[in-house]
Amino acid sequence: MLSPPAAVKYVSFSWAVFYVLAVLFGAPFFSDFIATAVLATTLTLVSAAPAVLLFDSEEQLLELLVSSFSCENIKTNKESIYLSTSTFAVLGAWAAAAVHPLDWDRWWQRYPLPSLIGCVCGALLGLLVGIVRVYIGKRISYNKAKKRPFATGDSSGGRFGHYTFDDAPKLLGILLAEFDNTEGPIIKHSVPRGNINVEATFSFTKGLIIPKPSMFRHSFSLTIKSLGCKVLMFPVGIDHTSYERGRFTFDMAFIVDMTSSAETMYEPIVQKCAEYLIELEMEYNFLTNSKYQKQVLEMMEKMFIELSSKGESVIEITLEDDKIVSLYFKLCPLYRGCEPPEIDYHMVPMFIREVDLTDRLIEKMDVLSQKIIPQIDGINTVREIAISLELDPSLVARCVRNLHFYECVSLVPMFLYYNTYVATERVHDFYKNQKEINECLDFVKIQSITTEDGSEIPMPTPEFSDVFRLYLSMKVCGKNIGDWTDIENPRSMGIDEHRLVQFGMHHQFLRKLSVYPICTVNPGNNSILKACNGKTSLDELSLRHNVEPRTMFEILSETEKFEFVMK
Amino acid sequence: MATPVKFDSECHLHAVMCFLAGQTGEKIVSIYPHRKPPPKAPPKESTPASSTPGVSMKPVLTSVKDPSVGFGLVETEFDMSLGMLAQAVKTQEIGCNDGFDMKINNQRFVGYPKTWKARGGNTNYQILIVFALKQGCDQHTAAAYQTLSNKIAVSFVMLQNYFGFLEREDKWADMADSADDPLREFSKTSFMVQTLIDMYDEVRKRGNIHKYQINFVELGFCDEAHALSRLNVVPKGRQDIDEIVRKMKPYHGILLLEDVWPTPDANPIVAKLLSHCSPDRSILDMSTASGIPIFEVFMIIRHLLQWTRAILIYPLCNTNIYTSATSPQPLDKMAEKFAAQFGTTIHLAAGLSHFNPPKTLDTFIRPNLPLHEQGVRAKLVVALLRHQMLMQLHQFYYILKPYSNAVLPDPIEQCPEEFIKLIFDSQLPNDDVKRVVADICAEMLSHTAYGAVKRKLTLFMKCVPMMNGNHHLEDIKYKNNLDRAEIESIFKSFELVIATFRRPDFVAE
Repeated sequence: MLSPPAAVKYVSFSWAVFYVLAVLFGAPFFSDFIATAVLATTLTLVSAAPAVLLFDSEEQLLELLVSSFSCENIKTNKESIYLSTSTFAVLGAWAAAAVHPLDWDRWWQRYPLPSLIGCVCGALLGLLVGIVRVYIGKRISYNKAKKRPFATGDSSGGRFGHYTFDDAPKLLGILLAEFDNTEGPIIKHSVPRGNINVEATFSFTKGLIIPKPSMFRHSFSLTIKSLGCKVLMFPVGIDHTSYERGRFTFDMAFIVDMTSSAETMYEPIVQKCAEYLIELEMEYNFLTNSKYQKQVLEMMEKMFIELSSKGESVIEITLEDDKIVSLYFKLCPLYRGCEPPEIDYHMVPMFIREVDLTDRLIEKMDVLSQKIIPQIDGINTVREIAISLELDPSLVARCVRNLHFYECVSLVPMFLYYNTYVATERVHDFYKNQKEINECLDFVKIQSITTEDGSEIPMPTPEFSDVFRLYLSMKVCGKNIGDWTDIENPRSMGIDEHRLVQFGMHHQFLRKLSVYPICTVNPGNNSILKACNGKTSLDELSLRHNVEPRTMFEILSETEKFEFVMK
Repeated sequence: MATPVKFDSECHLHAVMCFLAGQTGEKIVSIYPHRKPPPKAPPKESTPASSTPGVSMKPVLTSVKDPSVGFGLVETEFDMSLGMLAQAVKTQEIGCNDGFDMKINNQRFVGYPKTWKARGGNTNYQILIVFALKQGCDQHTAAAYQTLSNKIAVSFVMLQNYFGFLEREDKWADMADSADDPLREFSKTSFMVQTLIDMYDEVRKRGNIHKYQINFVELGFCDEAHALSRLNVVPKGRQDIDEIVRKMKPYHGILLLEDVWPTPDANPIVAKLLSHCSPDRSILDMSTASGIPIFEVFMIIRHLLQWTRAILIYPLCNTNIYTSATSPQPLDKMAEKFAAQFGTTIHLAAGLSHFNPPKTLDTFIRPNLPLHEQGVRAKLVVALLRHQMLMQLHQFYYILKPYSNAVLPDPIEQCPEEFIKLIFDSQLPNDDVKRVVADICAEMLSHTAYGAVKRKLTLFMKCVPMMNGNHHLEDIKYKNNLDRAEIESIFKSFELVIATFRRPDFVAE
């Protein structure tokens, strides 16, 4: 509720506005003062006064009034009902004024009676419209939640490091099948409710969802081409004297879109879900006791919506004597099972996803990340970050490894003028991608120059044609980037070659060429000769023997036992 | 291109099974190879299980041994008996005649169920050749094996229609069912089992099959990825190959992967074409040299590509630019192979390092070398191309504004109206470029004849729509019917607004 002074201010202001409006729309200015005042009061009461109860501050109210002009803005249910009521009230008053000029000479034509009636009727109509709209909106948003595909890599609204996978197949439905003692296998619950496809899937796989007892506790996944889906099943049976036939058989099956081959992501969830349900059933008769049926269905619905929109789901189940059990589910890509690669100190971490590093976000991180993450700019290597923060490089490497594992950063090799880079065919995609072009132009420009008096002047954005021509000029011709810079002189066009290369490496339209020495004589037992089999690059070899790559190259080429291939 | 290519010469096929369903219920009557199940750890005592319902006072998980007999009792490596597998793979009537793809405990099974009826009978029988595939196989490999399953099933059903083949097999299976070792008993009498074993061995060995079932029904199949990787070529799936076939142009050539000798009953034209086949000939050249209509040449080449007998390349030519391929190859094994083929005079790595940085072919096969040496070097390049250790780079073009610091032409006289109209009506991307082109023309006019400039400009305008990075020089040349020297001189004249890029072409690589 608004504070009393604010409420008085707001109500009197709206009364004045309505009075002026009425006059502007043709009400007598000097005569009939009371009639116009009554109209303005009614309008204020119907359309402005509810806001006093609805909002807590004037800013909120103002925000709503401004946002009401744009239709995309998301409003709460109360707000949208309020808006439609007041709009219809004003419109009703205005429309009802149409009966004044008619020469029917009836008592109710007298000013301001029609407008008052119009105002009240309009408000009632608006209230109705508002409620209907909210109801429909709810339905639509529910459908949207069902149909929403996986969000790709954007972290808007999500937690930092939280990631939904764009390659995850769509979850089409979940069904809980049981063996009914009179009817045989039946669908106990299914989400989305009343979906024909879920039922069709069930009748197709009846024999597998509830199979013979010997096949219990094996996981099955069957592709049904005609329905375009895959069904993942894990049938379970529990024996106990309390069950009618001494045995209870159930199967929570997941129906997944067929087009993606990554349905294996759901397999652990199916088994985990079955294990949770076994525990719950054995201890609390969660599936068989009728008082839990509503919760089972709610749990399935929640799981369905959350798994398909967020890729993870946490469900709380209230059991007898108010005991709460939480179930955790999370989609996990297959490669997550393996150890992430070690991070070399000379690698440069670069953010993959657009993350707006607000203070609030940074506050939530651990102390180390709070320091390290703002330093990641796509230019500094792990060791450089460590030096600038006065930390141990191994700590920084561990933090970066963690970020790499959760797909927040990618790692690109350190920029060296000694390196050779070539453009790959992906540069063609870059040519067509306007969003990437804008990003690139912003990133590769010389950010600012410092003048003699110490002030920094931001530099203009370079031309796309220059940037693209520079990328194309990085041909496979054996020139290292130092020589290339001398010839092309990108700085004269306002382009920073360091940033240009890092951007290209990050988006993979540049590739670093490595020299692979190949031994042309019989290697025997010599470890260096053996290593030169076309799989070890010169950089790796020199790192192994702690020699500078250039020296290594000279040593190897002097022996005349090696050929050098670049790839 | 940048992704490392695995030369996994091992086949994805793990086992083959035959499933029959009829009057006496469903059973799997053969499995090859029949590996013994791995020794099981003794069941944990902590998880009690019961097999009879209703007797346990505490809730326990159901665990029942499979009650089946005969074939069903046979244990497999898949942690299930054949009886359980048979129940699992049994498909409903509506699911028949469609691809079957199932995963049981992480083991993938694919097939293509078919239904058939005995002569004069009403019972619907079902046959399904099930292939167990190894983990991590692609969708296209699975699809290939579904096709094979379908082909085998169709051929069996056809034999059934001729002389009751399946009916007989079904009867023998029923007889074997009561024996002690039903699998062996059935394999003694059955014709089907040996056929499947042969097929399995051949697919594992070669990646493709061409044979006659019971000397009667012809059956051919190709697991493209396996067949290619066996020959140390980057594996491609059916779809990729079809895509290549669709993009094939008369200026492409082919490289035979193995000595392809057609069977005696093959079309004589194939033999004739193969005798005219060489790496320096394009499809058009082959057609001209052999006198076979180009359409027919296309058909034969499509066939060779689809059966992984050949790969598509650009014909060898002295101006071709090559570089070493990006995918790391197992060089040591290759080096031995090459040494056996070419002797010790030239090492494989010498060939590779020569094209590093990219060079044209004539710098490697120098005309001043002895003729024999030239031949060896040409063969080396062909061998490197065949194993895709070399790749050809093509020139692609983009129309772009000149560098912002480039020296622009400064003509003394204005560009003639006729040219300006031509330029501004063209598909050049923006006005800056158009102005530069007009200036180039005006400057060219100061030292070249009007007619020659006009011809150059007209031809350039004809090429412009293809200069968006999608078409390489060969393609532009072919589509506009131009001579290489001429097109190069045009591009030289307008080089200010052209950016060139060299990359491999995906059709051939």
